[in-house]
Amino acid sequence: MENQEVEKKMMSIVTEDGSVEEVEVILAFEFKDTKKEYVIYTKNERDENDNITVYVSHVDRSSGEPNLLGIEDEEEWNRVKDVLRELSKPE
Amino acid sequence: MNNFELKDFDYKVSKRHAAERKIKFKNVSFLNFTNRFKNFLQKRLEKKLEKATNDAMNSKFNKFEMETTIDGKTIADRIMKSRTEKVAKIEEKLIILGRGKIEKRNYINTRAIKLKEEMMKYVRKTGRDIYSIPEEIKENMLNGTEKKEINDTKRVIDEETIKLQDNLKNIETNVNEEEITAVINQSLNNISLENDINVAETKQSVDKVFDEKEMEDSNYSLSDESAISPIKNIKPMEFPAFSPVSVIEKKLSEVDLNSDVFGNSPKIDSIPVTSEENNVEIESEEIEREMPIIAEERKINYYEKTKDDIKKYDSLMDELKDTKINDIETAERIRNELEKTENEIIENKNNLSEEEALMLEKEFEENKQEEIKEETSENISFDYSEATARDIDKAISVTKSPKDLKAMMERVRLLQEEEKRTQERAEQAEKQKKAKEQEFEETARKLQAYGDDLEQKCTINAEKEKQTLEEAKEWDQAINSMLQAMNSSSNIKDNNIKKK
Repeated sequence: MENQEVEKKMMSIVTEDGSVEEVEVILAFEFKDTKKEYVIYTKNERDENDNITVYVSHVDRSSGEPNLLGIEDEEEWNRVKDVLRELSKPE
Repeated sequence: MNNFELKDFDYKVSKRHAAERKIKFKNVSFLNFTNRFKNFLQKRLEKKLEKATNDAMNSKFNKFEMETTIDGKTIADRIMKSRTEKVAKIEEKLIILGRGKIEKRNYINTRAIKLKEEMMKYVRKTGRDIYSIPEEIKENMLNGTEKKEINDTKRVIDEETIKLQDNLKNIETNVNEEEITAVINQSLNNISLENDINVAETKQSVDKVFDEKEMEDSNYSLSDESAISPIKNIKPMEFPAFSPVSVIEKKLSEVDLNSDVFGNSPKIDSIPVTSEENNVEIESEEIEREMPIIAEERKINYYEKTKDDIKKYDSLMDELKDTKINDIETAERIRNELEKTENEIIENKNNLSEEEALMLEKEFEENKQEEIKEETSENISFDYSEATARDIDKAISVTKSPKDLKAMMERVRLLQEEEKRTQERAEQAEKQKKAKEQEFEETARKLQAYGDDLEQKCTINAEKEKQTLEEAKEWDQAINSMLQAMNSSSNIKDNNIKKK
């Protein structure tokens, strides 16, 4: 019997130099007050302690297509980290 | 902390314009992460499923849709199928989210057809030219469907269990069936014990509070290649693949032939052994001592035989699977083409106004009838658009079935109505044309009159101007002559003075 794999959300990221990376989207969330949207994804990188690296970008949809921007503001980054801590706790 | 909400990110391609931030998680925390999102998606899908189910249940059809068939299926049938397919697609996603996989290939089509048949069974006339599922039946169906789903899942699990048991029973060995079961159960127990230990360890790590120190973050720079570690496959949610054959093979491969599990001979209290010397009953311990080699051979035979049987079973399953896959792929292809056609029909229908749609449907029906007529009436082609009454009578006399006759009469009636409408439109256009012509003529007349008037005025003005010029000339001449006269008199005076 053939088994269908778990549905993974994959995304292709086109970098500034034109190269394409395939990443797995873990989740996306939005702050209710600022309406700023963020996406969290992974490239399946694990270190020697089996910790996994995830990446966080701000999603800008002002031009119609989604563009991923970095988080420059430290306060904003701290808020995002708080959310990630919250989500990493068991439900 | 409720200042954020999860979102379903559905973009396949994104452009990155600035370096992203990165952060590390422990495996357990990461699993919590993904589970949270999984639950969120599940809830969203459940809502979508409810809506899709309601849409299908609340379908309404008219008489035309219920009675008109295209390739053996009514339009209502096709519409309902497209709706139940949406339901089945969402159900499949939910199953994948919940179980991690879907057991049946072609689940969507099978489920959609089943649901459609179930619903169409209850569609009946509920109003003037409205066919739908009555309210009381809808409620029963909704409740019944839920329970049935649960029962279906239970049934699937039971079936798998039965299959496993059957497979175990069907394996032919030289050893007693009870012994096989005992052996396998013992090895199962050994393995399940190991799993229990693993679960206990995992539970401990889950209970551990997520420590800030364990979370590292750094600014990721594209130029820092050393920060990128090799990509490894991650399976945060792994569900054990369930297959009776694989279970048996796994269990058997884990059995150590040298272990006591197989090492012990069956407990036989005594075996009557006949020997030439005497008829003596030999005790079990003596049997063990005397027959270690046979026990070893028995172990090997059992294992090898089982392995062969498993291979045969596997190859048979593969053959069946291939045949089934081919059939299913063909059916899927045909189904997709039919759906495309159906969707086009439905889309086109939705885009048209009611009248246009009705006309088109009727035209389609007529075309269909004409095709049927051509098949049955020996290639008679007849152009109704320019037919006279006599021609129609002639054609009618050639047809063979009452249905054709009815269709033709209907067509004639429609054509006549169309003709009337066209005539009316033509008359109206004629009237408008006449009115426009009259208006034009009147305008032309007015313009002409205005032109004449202007011309007249110009002539009068010209004449006046001419007259004035002539008068001016005359004045001019008169003045000149006076001046001359004055000059000549002054000259004479001067001469007279000089003379004096």
